[in-house]
Amino acid sequence: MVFAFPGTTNAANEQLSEGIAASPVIQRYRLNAGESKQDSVTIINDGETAFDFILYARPYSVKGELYDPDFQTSSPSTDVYRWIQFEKTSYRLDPHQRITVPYTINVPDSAATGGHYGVIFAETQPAKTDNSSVVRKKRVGTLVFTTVNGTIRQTGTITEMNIPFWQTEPPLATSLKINSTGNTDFVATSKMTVKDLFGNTKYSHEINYSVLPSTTRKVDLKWDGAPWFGLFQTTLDTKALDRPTSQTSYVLILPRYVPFVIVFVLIIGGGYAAYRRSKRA
Amino acid sequence: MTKTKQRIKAWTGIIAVFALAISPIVASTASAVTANTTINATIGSTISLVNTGTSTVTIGVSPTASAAMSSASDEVSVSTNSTTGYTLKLGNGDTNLNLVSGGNNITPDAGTFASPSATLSTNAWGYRVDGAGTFGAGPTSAETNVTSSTYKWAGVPTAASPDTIKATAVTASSDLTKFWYGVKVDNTKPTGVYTDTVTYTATVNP
Repeated sequence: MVFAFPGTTNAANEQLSEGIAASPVIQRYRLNAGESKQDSVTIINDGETAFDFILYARPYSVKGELYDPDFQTSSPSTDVYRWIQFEKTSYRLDPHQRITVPYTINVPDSAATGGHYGVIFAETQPAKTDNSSVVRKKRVGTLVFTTVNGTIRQTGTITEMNIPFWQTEPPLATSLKINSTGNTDFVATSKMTVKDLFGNTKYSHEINYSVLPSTTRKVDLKWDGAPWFGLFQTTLDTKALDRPTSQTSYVLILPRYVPFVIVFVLIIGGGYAAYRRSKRA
Repeated sequence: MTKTKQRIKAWTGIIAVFALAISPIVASTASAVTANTTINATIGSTISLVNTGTSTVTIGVSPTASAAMSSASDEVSVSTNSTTGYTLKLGNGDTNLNLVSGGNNITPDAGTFASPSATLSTNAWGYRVDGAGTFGAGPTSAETNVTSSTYKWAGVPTAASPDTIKATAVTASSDLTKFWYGVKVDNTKPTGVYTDTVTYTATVNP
């Protein structure tokens, strides 16, 4: 008996690319309970082939300190997907075309004060002629961060700033943790500055990021281009909720084997010196 | 009188020459009075997910009694100007996790992203991504009708719990991820075209 999937080769056929893009990537709203807001996202055919795509909304939350996105768990703070209505849910885009797709957010009268989070997905639909063993859909999302007005509390603290002294290999890595104890998200800014011993700035990187309510976010800041050896003064500056926090420490990048080599050389040198001394005596 | 006239003429000449001499300065001073225009360019945020150079992923297997295994790859690239990077996930595209041909199924491998199988099980299909999770560094090469795969594999998870394949923290320009899909079957599986749908999801990190 012969079992076969279509085709006799295992190569993915070399053909034109298919790509979908969304803009903007985050929409932020501040709305009243009972209010409606009309807006739109732009979906772009970023490939060489035409495709059909569909639109839908899903919950958005995060898992863990690294903020792994979860598009499934429904909770009172992820109900914004129920409030989003699309005029039309399926479209077709030719190569390099873009389309602005309108939607309306209808905030219910009973909506709780604070942050409500969701995501709008645009998802390609495979062509009917696709005879793949593995048919691919691609979807890109626009995050929807909605704060319902009322008694808004934006509170949180930086719980950890970590600049390890001895790092055995690049990148030069630092991290911080920041939590949110309020009822809506806030945006924090963190900046990593690395200077050499003469005070010259070797690297600087700044990011703005959101901290969702009732979560702790771990932010990793790295200098990927750091050399394999060096002593650097590293500063982490973070500004959250108008409160600046700063920490400066020295970082030594030194491969793990180097101290062993030094100790080995010292032992050999010491042994040789002792041998010479005993021979002279 | 004549002397006075001569003095007037001389002073007139001096003033004219002086006026002529300073005229470029005055002119240049006048031309230095300029209006400033501020140009603001607002760059919108965007995320793009592209299958590069492939339109189908086709895997051919000629099974034996002791089973044969083949694999093929698919490339996905993500671009975003979000400074917090992006997250790329893979999940099944529907509620049926099997490769399906009519009433016949090939089930997903029991391995998971967190704990992939050392080799693909018989009558199972799965995926791997070099360097992701504990799949191993690779590089993976396509295998065709081999007795046993030399790589680790995981079943494609449900749409509700997709695997996080990659999470970045900086902007990305055509950041490539290569997915490998493998199938291993013995000759108890009826011939046919076995198919399933997977979904790649890309969102920015907030």
